[in-house]
Amino acid sequence: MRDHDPMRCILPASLLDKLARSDDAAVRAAALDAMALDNRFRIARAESAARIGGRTAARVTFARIGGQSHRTIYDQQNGSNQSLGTVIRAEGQAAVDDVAINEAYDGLGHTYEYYWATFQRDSVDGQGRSLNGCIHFGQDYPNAFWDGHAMFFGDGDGQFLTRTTAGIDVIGHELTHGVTQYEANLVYSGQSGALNESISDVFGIQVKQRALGLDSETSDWLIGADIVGPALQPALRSMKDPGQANPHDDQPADMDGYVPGGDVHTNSGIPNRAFYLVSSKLGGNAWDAAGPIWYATLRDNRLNPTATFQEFARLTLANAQQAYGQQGAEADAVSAAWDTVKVPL
Amino acid sequence: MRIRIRRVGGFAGNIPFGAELDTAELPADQARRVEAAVDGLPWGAAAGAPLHPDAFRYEVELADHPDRGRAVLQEGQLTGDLDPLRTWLEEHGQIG
Ligand SMILES: [Zn+2]
Repeated sequence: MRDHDPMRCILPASLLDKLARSDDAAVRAAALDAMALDNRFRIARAESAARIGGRTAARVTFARIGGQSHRTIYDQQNGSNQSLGTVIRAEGQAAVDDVAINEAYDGLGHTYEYYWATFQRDSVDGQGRSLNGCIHFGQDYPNAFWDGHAMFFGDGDGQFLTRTTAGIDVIGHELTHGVTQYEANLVYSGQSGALNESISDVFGIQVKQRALGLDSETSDWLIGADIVGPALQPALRSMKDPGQANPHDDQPADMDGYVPGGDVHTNSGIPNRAFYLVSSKLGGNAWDAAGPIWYATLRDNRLNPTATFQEFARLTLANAQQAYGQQGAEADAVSAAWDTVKVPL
Repeated sequence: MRIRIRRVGGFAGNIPFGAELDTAELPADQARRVEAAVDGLPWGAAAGAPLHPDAFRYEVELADHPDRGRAVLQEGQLTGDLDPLRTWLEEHGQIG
């Protein structure tokens, strides 16, 4: 950082960071100039900032600009309107007297941290987009979702689901729908829809594992364990044993059980298990190799929005070979996993 | 009129959840409004994609008229005269 830069002299670094992510192109450019960023980096960033949706540009590795989340928590006050409610906690503000607010704030932070620390991805769009969490959505609403702009949290009905902010994996899952929207943009029906769902579980569980210090061995690989009510104990889904998470879980564990026309959350059990198998075979943290292979696949230009399980599986193998070698243990683990879930490569 | 309603999708979309409402159990005027509204649903039409990831959808069938097939509604469409279906489901819905 140059001392004589006028903007730098006036503005603190944190504000410069904020300005560099402004929606106003002129403000953004001035802030970037002020930060005296590498010219090549600036061009790449301006190009990718001009795009809306679709794939992000090459990963941003310049540490000065990223690494800072911009979270805002809104109170929907039990309304079902999807416009943003009342701001109740903004980035940097202290914890407040409502556990749902603090859980949402922390969960958004864990998700940001996972993507930044692992892939130097700056928020869901790779461009530092603000993360909005809307809590107390609806009346006893037993669900949570990403609507393309913000994450909405229901308080749960107490039987089916409880307070949805309590699930770090749930928050990672929903924000990953945002990541997918900016990358492969997988169509939300059929096999591509089940892949979309699976990718959200795959990265959602890693966000939780990283936040809690769990590795492939110590994680229970359960999805929704912290938000299920008494009727669905102990969890909604199991990546390790699809179909066995609770007495009503209808996920298949391999292609023999594939449900034609089934819900995207049902058939996602098959690719979920493939990821678990790769991660557990390789050992260590899920984000050491398995996570990066899946992430590279999600960002791979060859992955079509209407991809099938087989197309996705082949690309995971190609990415494992490219990153870790043709004959590496990683590629072997990927091949073995898809073989086990009966998706032919 | 016996109306079967199933909630599908949502974050917990791998868990089936549904209920059956016999309009005979509703006050007569409410029953008439529900029956008229159900009659006008897009029976047999292809289900549209969910509004966004993890949105709910509702599948409606008539127990005594399986020939009419199924009508699929998006989350948020069970309002007005159809609202009793949503409240019935919330109060009497069964998992499985
Ligand atoms: Zn989802």
